[in-house]
Amino acid sequence: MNKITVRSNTYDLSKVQSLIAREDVGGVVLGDILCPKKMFDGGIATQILLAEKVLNSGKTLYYQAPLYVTGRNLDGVKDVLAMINGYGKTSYAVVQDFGTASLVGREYKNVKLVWGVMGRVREHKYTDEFLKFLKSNGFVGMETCDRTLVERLIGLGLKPYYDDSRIIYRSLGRTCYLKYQTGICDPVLCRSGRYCLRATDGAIEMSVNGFILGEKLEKIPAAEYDEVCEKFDVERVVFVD
Amino acid sequence: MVKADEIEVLAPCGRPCDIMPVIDAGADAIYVGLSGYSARPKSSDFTAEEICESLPKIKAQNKKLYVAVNANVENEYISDLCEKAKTLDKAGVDAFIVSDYGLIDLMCKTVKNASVHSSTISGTYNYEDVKLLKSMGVKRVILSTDLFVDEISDIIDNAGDMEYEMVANGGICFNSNRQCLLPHVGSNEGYTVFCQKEYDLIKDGQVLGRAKRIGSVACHMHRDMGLYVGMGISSFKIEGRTNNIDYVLKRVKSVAESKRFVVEHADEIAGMMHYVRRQG
Repeated sequence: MNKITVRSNTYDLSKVQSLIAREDVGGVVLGDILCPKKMFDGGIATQILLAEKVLNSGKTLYYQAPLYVTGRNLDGVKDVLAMINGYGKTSYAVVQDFGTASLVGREYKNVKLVWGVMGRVREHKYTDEFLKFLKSNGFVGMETCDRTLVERLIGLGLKPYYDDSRIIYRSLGRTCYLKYQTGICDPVLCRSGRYCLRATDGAIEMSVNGFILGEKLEKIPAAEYDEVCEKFDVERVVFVD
Repeated sequence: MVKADEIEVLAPCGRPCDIMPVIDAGADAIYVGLSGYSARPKSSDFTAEEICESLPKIKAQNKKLYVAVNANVENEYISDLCEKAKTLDKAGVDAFIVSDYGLIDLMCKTVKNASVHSSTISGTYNYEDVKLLKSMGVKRVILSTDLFVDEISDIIDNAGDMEYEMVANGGICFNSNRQCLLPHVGSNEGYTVFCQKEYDLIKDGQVLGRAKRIGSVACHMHRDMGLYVGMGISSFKIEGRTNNIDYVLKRVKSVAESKRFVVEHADEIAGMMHYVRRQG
């Protein structure tokens, strides 16, 4: 059976327990790129607890590092990596910056590197030079929902982590739009998408999803996804509710 | 004590005829886009020939010229880019501004004399990033406008020897400088940027009122430049390669005036730093 790696927008103990009990699940991606509170009700504490559940289950843990690893959260990122590394089994860090990658490669030998789908610039084109740079800096793979990248990655010796859904958004930033607009920090409200911004000229409307505006997941058609998975040696990354 | 030649006013140029007015307005260095390889419209870029022709008058004024190569480059154009970079390097360009880490690495290995500066959109957010760039041969990091002041200070304090540049005047984004996908619609008058629109805040379909701005604001660094000089930033960039020359000149004069003020009041910088880091 082809194992899958699963991703979700939110996790709690029961969801993680049900995922690690599944035979078809080989790995679990844990971590929100912008706000741990949005993904885990208890924030970083719950993230660590659930990561340990995955690590103890025999499944592979993929730690999704923050999009912005800065002086504000670098020590926290190091703490999580040290905990994962301490288990002595191969795990992965999905990163979006080369500084974090450099740190992982140097200090956490049990943690392998995957370049995240959000490690892109606006146009999200990748030169072969960039992909070769990933390889030469210790990356084993790259997450993508772009089928044209899959073959290039394999040709350059990188494993494609092929997402079954595309993350669609209008904008994101360093400020939680919900808190900025309403003064409220409420993960449940944040996930619900009950708030939105509509241009007064009607040109655009976008949901307020914490640090992201207009966030949606767009499923790749099953036939297209399966065709790529059958044709190429990819790691299947499946988004689950 | 900081001296005038330790602070750089870096100005944009969109046309060769703008170079001398920009230098006269107080620029210490100029940056231009390399046609076909910059993140701006071709009309505001310089061809390699125009760059070579511009160099003698810039050098005659003892000023510097940097070339931006910060668009995504298609694979089939990389060898052409390298050839152009070698030509410009030989001609005396002072630096190349590059955003793609693969191209930064390639450029560091390709050019012999010019420096390589990592672009503001290269995604450099921590001191580990800077240490890696330094090991690759990068001489200057242009700080991301997504960073906050404590994060900038953390980078500079921990990364060791590196030149830093920041946007001192011009558009800075409220949203992610690197990944925002809000439409930028071009027109003859410039751009319609959707983040600049007015928005209503809506909950469950009901309009609650006018939303707070999510649009970029213009950065105007005046006498607080001393704070950033104290932190270790040496180059202050004016945005606006696509803007008309009057707009650019006004901003260059403003930043040059800030520089004069900081140099005249250099003895006050240590006191400005109290809330950033303690130093004697």
